[in-house]
Amino acid sequence: MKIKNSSDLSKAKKKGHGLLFPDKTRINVGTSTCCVAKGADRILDAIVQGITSRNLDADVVQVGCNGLCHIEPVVEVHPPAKPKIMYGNVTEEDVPRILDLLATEGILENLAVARVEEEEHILSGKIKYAFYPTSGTCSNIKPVNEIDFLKKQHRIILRTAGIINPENIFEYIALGGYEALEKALGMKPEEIVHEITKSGLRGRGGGGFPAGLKWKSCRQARGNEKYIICNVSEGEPGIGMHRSFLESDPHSVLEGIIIGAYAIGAKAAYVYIRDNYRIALKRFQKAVHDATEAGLLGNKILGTSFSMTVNIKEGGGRFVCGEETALISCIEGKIGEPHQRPPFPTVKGLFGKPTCINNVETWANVPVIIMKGSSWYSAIGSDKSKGTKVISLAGNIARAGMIEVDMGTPLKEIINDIGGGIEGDNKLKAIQTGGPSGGVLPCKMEELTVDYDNLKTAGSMLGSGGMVFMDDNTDMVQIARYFTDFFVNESCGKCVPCREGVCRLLDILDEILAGRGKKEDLPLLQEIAEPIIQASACALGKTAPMPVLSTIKHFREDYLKHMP
Amino acid sequence: MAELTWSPDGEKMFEKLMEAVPEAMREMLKPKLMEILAARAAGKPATSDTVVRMVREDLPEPQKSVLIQALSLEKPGGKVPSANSDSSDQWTGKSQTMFKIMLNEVPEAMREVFREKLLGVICQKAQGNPFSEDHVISVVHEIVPEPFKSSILKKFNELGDFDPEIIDKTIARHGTTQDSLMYILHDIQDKIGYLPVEALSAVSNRCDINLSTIYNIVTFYKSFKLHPQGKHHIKQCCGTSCHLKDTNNLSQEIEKVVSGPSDTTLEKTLCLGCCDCAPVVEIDGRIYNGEEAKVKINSL
Repeated sequence: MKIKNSSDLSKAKKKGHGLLFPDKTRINVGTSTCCVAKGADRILDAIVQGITSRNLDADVVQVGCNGLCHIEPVVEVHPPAKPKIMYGNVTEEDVPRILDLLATEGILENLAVARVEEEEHILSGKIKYAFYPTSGTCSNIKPVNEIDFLKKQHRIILRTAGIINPENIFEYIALGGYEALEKALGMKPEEIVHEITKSGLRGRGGGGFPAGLKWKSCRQARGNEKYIICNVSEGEPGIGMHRSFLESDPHSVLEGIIIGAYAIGAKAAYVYIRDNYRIALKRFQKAVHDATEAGLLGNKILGTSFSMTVNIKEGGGRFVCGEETALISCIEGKIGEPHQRPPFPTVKGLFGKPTCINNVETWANVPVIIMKGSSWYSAIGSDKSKGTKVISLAGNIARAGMIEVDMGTPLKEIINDIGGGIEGDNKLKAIQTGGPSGGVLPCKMEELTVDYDNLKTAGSMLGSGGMVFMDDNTDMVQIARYFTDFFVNESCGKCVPCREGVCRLLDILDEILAGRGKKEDLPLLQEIAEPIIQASACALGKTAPMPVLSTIKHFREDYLKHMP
Repeated sequence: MAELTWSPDGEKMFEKLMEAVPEAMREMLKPKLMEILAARAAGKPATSDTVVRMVREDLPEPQKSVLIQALSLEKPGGKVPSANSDSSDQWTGKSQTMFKIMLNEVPEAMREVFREKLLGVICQKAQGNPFSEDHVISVVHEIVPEPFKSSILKKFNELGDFDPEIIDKTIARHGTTQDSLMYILHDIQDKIGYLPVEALSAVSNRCDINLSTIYNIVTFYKSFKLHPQGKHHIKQCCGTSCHLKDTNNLSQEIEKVVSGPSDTTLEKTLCLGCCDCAPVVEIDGRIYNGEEAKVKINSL
């Protein structure tokens, strides 16, 4: 089905609506990597088999991850015109019980986590699908927007995650997908850049550079040949949400990229996906293929004169490739070593041409900003950081998963209200934000509100949004050693201070951990850290001593405990 | 000593026989053989029959077989290759493929003629044994002129224990520019399981990229493997969460299995992105968490 104009788009929307809300029961099974790790693939098989053997008439759909990773595997059962019931921690033994109840429209209450009677979508508005007053059994189950994990979230980027089939473009269109593209293609490219600038969107990759400025600089750069790059390198440990994006809603990223290419004047985009992300790669490939088939990508997009292609590049498993100049080298087929800036990629990037690199979350923000307008967007968030931020909660936290909150949300709220506090009876000791390049914050900082500038002032960074929580059993020297070891392995070796200096940090940490530490070691660590920060070319090198420095600053007593 | 005289067919046969002898040895061998023939003919002219009988009865192996082949006295089932006998028993290793590569350098119209000739030469070298890779290589060194010699030898370097079509198809799909290199290497590794040096040579030759450049890339990126991997492949996540939550000693369990008799390769990778269910490992392409991972590892 080629989509050439808005009437084609609404036909596609209708078709997608039919798939999302069929005349029979629809069963959603989350099958992202994180779900599969907990056995979702076996649950899926059991459901498919059970339905065949019971002769039930139901659609079984593989969806992405809805962020409630702590209760995976998640199964949602949605009979037509009835509330959708979300089951969590489903085991293979539960499947026959759920299916047996399906015939009588019964609900397995002790397993049900939430009921969904209506969905409020940022782009497509409210969809109400329980047309009768909630009665009897159902009312014991909490409505989905009242469960603790979701109550305080604001889902813009994650609006369709875990709801639509990521491998079906029509389901994405049904919830307002590609309408932003249609709108954007009717605008002047400068207007789009202006909208993005006005929205206050900042690059979600780590530094928080204003996206509009980057776009503008790339648009104004000389040359007809320009490129777009979407960075899904996600090398930092403890995150996994970029994987989740692509696995749950690849089309929103793709739509953002197409709009960006039109605004900047690029004819080709590269999407760099790191290795090991097999499901993400597969789903994004499918998305590109489907969008091309539908005429939303490739030649004469949506019947206009604008054409572009999207190439997918699989990485090679190096953390440093997340750095933009290294990433460009990698796409060019060279080793991923960072280069000096300037010239910045917006002037001289991929193949020497102006290139606009943004991270996957930044691109996913674009369609929403275009659809809802910059003033709507800039009303969300804190003073200097607009919009929402997707954050992955991991470590010793009760409710791990992927969440989306407004910028400026207090850390405390994220930990206690959404994350459910620290698991077990332990207390929070430290929060590690922004991956290894960030810092470790002590628990007393939980009053902090989360945005780019606040975390930077506190001596850490927001990074791409990973938060790892550590309880009071954690030895911070071990943590510092872990991250330093990570940098030793991941340094590309180009700059001597990073290559050699980080090794020395590790040596000293090993001595301390072996009980042979001396008082002078702590100033020595700080002294070695200084030239690494000063003299390394890229952000990886410059931030490599961060874990050591921040643990010394906030957890000196942990170091002293190891000293004789 | 009897004087050797020839019947016309006898002399012709003897000349043919001499042609089969490597040139260096010819002068040395000739008087010896003529002496034997004179004794056999016993005063009469030596006929072709006399020559054949001499070869069969008086000569030791392996010279006997070589000369019999040269005189085409015995057809295969024995070990005389002919134009249409590519039966694999007389070729060992990759010698046959190498022979074909060598022939492909010859213009097509002349290929059949050369094929016979070259087979003859290899026959001599093999001296009745199956043709080995060394035989073919020495033929190339001795008789093929430059620039064909270099290009043939280059192609020999590309021969590994894999189907060369994998390389051709991959390169045809991705093109030969350097920005396709990562795609090509990933694809080849997916198909062969690792990157054999022969495959890298092939890519280097086809794409005109230095082997050293390719080696640089392959050793820089951690996802490329230069050696065959075990039957089972464990990827242990080294992410923060998995490090933090490896309280049930998953890593010790893994060490035990990897050092044990099971054919398992361990790779420590960047975060696998399943931090919420830490600790996780990927075993043969599927991610397992915690206890389940332990059970799976011990079942390998």
